[in-house]
Amino acid sequence: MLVLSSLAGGPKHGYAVIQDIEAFAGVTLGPGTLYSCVARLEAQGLVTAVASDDRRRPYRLTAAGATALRRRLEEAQTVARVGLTRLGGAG
Amino acid sequence: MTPAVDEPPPGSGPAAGSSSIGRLVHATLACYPKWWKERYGDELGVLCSDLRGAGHRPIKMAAGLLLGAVDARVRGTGIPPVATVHLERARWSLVAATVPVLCSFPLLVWIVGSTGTTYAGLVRPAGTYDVTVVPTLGFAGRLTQDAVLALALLVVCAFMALTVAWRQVRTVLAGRGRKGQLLWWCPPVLGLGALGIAVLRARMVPVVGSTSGSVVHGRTVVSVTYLPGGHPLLAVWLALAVWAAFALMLASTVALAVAVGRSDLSDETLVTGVGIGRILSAITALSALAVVAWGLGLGLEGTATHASSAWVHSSLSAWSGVLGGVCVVAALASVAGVRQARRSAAVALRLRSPFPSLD
Repeated sequence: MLVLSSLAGGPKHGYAVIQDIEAFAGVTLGPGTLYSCVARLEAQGLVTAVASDDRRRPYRLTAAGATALRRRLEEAQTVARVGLTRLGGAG
Repeated sequence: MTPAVDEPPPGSGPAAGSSSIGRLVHATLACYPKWWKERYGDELGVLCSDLRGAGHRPIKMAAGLLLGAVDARVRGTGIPPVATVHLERARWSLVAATVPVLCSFPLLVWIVGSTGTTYAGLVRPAGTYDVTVVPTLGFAGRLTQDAVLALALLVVCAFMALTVAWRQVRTVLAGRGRKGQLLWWCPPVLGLGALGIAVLRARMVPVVGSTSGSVVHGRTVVSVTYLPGGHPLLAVWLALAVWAAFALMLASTVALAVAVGRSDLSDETLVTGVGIGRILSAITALSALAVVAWGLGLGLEGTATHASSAWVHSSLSAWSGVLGGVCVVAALASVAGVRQARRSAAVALRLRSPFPSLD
């Protein structure tokens, strides 16, 4: 979800994704973790590589990736809303 | 259209050789499978170079890359639908299924040998100790024992081979297959026979014992050495038999893995090869279990023949843990490797032929 959220802001290569995730989530992904994730997402058709002459190949979100990200974020939002409501009620 | 790429990296340059990313990171990058490196290797190397330039620690990067390499090899996520790639994957799966067990075998023999045959340097309280020496069998007795063991193992080997390979055997017997197929079964079956005879022979051979004692810091250090009874060359024979069996099975595994990875194999031979891999891994796993059982058996024997020998219990329980751990890890690798080999070979067959079957 972190990688998909990062790519939702536009195509990025690996280094930019790591920096972006570090900025908005405070999580530092390693290169091995990132590319395991990218390979899995690419195999699922959620992200795709963008043609580039640079050896730093950018990736972008596909339409299926955008749909999957939206669904997961909405699920997370529902869980967060319920949790916060209950916390508020308890307090 | 040129994509909008956020924040150009401050990396140390486009070169991603071992000098710019460090030897450790370079070595872990080499652990990824070939198909993965062809797809992502170049850009991942550049990323590592950039991250190193930004101050990321190579050890942390290498650890993550190593886990990623394991993930890529185990899951095979994103593997291209090419038959040769899946054959290559099947080859390495067979290696993973058999080599860990085979490699653990000499270790197990060594551990068992060091605990079972020699109790040297172990400290126990001062006192009087009795060592029971088992009388040795004569030449005829040993010969009979070997013959019985060989016969029993032959029956077991033949049963296993005929059960699992009955289709291949039936095809050959019906004159529709090639006789060369049966040769595939010889190395593992012979290996199992030689290994089994060596292990059981070593387990059952009567022993003679010698003891020596000395006092160190108020305690008695007792050394008991068991030697195989009878002819002095028997120990050499045992060692040669065990190592020859090990070499034979290792060579079979390597030959099998190389053969299965070849792209010009017929479907029938590929199916046979994967089947042999399954048997080979089962044989090696059972052999390792036999060695563990052998070691535990020797431990019980040692306890029984020594009076007041509580140290034997503690010593053997630790070794038993090591033996069990090695055996479990090797067996798990074997099971996972065989499953993956079977899956990869099935995919390779499906990609090559419209009518695949591994059943």
